[in-house]
Amino acid sequence: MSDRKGGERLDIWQGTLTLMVLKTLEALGPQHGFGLARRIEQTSGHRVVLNPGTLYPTLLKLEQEGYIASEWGTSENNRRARFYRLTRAGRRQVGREEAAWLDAAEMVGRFLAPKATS
Amino acid sequence: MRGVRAWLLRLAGLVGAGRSDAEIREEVETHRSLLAAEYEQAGMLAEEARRRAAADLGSLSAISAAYQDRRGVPVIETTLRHFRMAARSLQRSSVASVSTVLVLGLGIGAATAVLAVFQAIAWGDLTVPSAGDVVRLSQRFDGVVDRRVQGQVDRFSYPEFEAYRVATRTLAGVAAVKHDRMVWRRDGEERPVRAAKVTGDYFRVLPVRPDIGRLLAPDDARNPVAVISHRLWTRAFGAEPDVTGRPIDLDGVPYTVIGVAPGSFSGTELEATDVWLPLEVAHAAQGRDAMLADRNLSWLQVLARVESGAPMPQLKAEAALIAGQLEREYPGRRTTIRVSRATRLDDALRGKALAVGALASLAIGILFLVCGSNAASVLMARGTTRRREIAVRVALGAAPRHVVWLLLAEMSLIGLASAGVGLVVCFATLRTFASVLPIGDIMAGIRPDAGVFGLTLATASVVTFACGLAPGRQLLRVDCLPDLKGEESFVGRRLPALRLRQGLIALQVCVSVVLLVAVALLGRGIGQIWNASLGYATLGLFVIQPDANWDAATGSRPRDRGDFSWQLATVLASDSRVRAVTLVTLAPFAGTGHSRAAPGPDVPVAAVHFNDVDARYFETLDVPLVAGRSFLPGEADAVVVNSALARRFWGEDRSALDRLLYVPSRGTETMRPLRVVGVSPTLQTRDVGIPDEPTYYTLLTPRASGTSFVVLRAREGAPVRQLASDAAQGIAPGQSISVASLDDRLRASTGELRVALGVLAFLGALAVLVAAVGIHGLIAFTISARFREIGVCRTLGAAPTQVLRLILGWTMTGVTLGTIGAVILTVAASTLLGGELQGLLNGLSPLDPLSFLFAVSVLGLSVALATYLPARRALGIAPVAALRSE
Repeated sequence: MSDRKGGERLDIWQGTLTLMVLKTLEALGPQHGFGLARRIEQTSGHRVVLNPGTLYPTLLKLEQEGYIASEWGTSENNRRARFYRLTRAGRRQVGREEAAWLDAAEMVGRFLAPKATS
Repeated sequence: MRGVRAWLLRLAGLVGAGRSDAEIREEVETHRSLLAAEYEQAGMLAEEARRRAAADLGSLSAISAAYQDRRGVPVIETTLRHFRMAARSLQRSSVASVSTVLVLGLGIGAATAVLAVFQAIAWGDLTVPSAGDVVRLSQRFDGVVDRRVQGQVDRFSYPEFEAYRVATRTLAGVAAVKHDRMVWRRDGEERPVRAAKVTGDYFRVLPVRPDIGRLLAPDDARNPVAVISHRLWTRAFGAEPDVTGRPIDLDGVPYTVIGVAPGSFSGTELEATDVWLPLEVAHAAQGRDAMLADRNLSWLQVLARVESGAPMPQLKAEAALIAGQLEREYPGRRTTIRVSRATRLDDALRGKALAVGALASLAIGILFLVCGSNAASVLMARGTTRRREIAVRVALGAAPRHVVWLLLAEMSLIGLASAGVGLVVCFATLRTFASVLPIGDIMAGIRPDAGVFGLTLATASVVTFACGLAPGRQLLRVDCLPDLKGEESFVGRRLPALRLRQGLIALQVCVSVVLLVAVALLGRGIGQIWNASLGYATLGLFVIQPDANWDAATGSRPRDRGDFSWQLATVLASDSRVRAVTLVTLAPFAGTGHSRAAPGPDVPVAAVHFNDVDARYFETLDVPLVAGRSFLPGEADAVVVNSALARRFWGEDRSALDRLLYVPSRGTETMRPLRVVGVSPTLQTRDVGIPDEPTYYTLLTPRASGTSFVVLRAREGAPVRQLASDAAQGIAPGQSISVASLDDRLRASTGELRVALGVLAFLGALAVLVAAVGIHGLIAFTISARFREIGVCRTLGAAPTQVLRLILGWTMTGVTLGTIGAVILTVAASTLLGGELQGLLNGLSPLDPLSFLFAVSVLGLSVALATYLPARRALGIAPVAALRSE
């Protein structure tokens, strides 16, 4: 996964992609890999471009950890595609990760805009 | 927890569970088609959209590979892949692989078995609960030592043992034991048994639980009772449950069986004990009470149990204190007490066992060298033909580390297989040892445990990697182009490889010859015993000793055995079938008398040996004196010395005559002078192959000794046992006697040598087998690798004999070099260790030509066979087939 901003490539924090995937699935419901990638790109304002070589291993990892489950379905162009959905554990994980990220963002925000928060 | 679940799923993925490769490919393919459809919707032509989507995604196989990596555990998958490749590669050269595995397995198995045996014998704990707390006490005397010895000098007298037992505060129990051979008479049949005469605390020091009845206790000191071993119970009593209360007649004394020791306990010495008796009652019954009272006689082994937690220094300090009190009686003598962990061997025997063990370890080392070099040469031979395969791999982009991993995987497979073969060989070897060696009972109890298995595996790995990676290094130095062209099998590089192989063959031949020479030497050395190297002929020489007949019911005293022996000697001497009869205190190989002597009144004394003999001793042994004469009747102030003593004190044999020799008066510390009337040659009456120490002989007064032996030289064919038995019945009806030929005694005294010979012969045979298998494998492999070359030779008109000569030439250089190396090694060993080796070989020279001839012929024959069998195949090669072959 890479983050493009004005042609620059920036590293993204560890674990960000997991949250993006889980959150997208929470918002959209069951989705295949291509749909997930597209949605993440759109949501990030096309600053994140997902390589399938990164996306699919991440999906498999989340499935192995029990946060998402998958099953075969049919895509919009009538091809067999694997659809991913959140599990109950995944829903709880979204909540936990979201809270943790908000906390972290808020804490970093204090450093970046000290006057506004003091 | 989630992490664990993920790892478990990944591990399951290794064996094919979860997403399949096809599903992964399909999913990635769907992704690409959806992307292409999106481009098409944006207005691109279908073809262009597909091309663009493919370009965006990059290599599908790379994406699939990343996906698959997450499914399993890449390291394990790669390793498994390497192992699969290694297995296929080994299968392709199955001759080389199998012979390597067999050779390594044989070596590893045999070596592990020998090590397990020596570990168990020399250092193995006793088979009793908390064996680590059992110690063995032994003592060393320095300074002025005048001590009687039965067995080894480091043992204790009964009063000394009692002193330790009573005075100790750090030992929870102290017990003395004397091992003896006894004769068990049952229904008119005689059967030898190994007896342990023990003091009351023996089973407190060694707290085993009886299988039946009870064990000996301190109260049994005066009861004629016996505990029998589990083995004796099952073999001789048919495992009858009501064995307690049954009588058992040992050396003419009836004992009552009170219990059966557990099967796991076979005593405290190398040879399994059959029966345990109370020491005091057994000696009183044999009329040997005097031994119990003798303060200055080494005869008892002392075992003790340490209070748990008692520190060793405290134990040693206490032992030294008691020893200090005891040695006050003997001015000038210093006693050192040694406290060591109790094993089946005491220190002196362990020394002997270690000597044998060192020899065996050397042999094992040599065997490993043979196996290792053998395996290395086969692997190297295989390696030279694999250069092409490796070159192909490197050319296709395999990184050197992958090639190394592949080689490591091959070595691991060979190592594992060798360890498997090794374990089988190890079990088989132990079983063979148990049935062949004289200590079979102990051997039968040795089982390769986890430690031995670990040792086998570790040794297999080390040896395999050591001999596998050397050729592996050579393989990595691949120069692709010539290797791909297959040029390596021709003249350019072949010569150094061939020379190396010949060097390895030479090494194997060298060590095999050395081992075979050692086997032949030891065998001939034992054979020497039956020659006249003792200084007297053993043929027709018998040793007779009266048994103690003691009636436990009436408690009557034994007969005067000295008187009986004297009468027996007189009766036997009058028989025409007997050439000569003599009475001695110590018959040959029955023990040693330690004493001291000086050539003058004010000269420092020296430690020497002594024996009391009667006037006919030298005549009976058939030994002419070197100078002077034997004793005259009643000549109590005369002494005969052996040549060693004469030379030590007076320079030469003749100058000893009529000199005065000062020796201790019996029972006192004062020295009395005796006149030297004769000088005997230095005989061998103590150890085979080792001349006696300086020894003096004094005249045995008739009827004086209760423990004298009758030594008899019979004419050929005389029924000595019957004669002696009839004579005994004539003197004292009911009196039984023990009759043993000197050859029997000698056979018993060569036990360790025979163990060594057994081990060496086994290793020697194995070395020859390994060398033969290795050479066979090497030649077979070389022939198959050079099939084409031989075919060309045959096409160009080479006669079969020429081809045979070519093949024989590959091995013969190695064989010749190896034999020369072996001769050099043996000469060097005999120069460095000449004295010790000659003692071990009973006087035979280590450079004995017959032994060399034996070794070279056995090896030559094996190598010739190992070369001829594959060579025969080469002769059958049809030239056209060879030229066509790839």
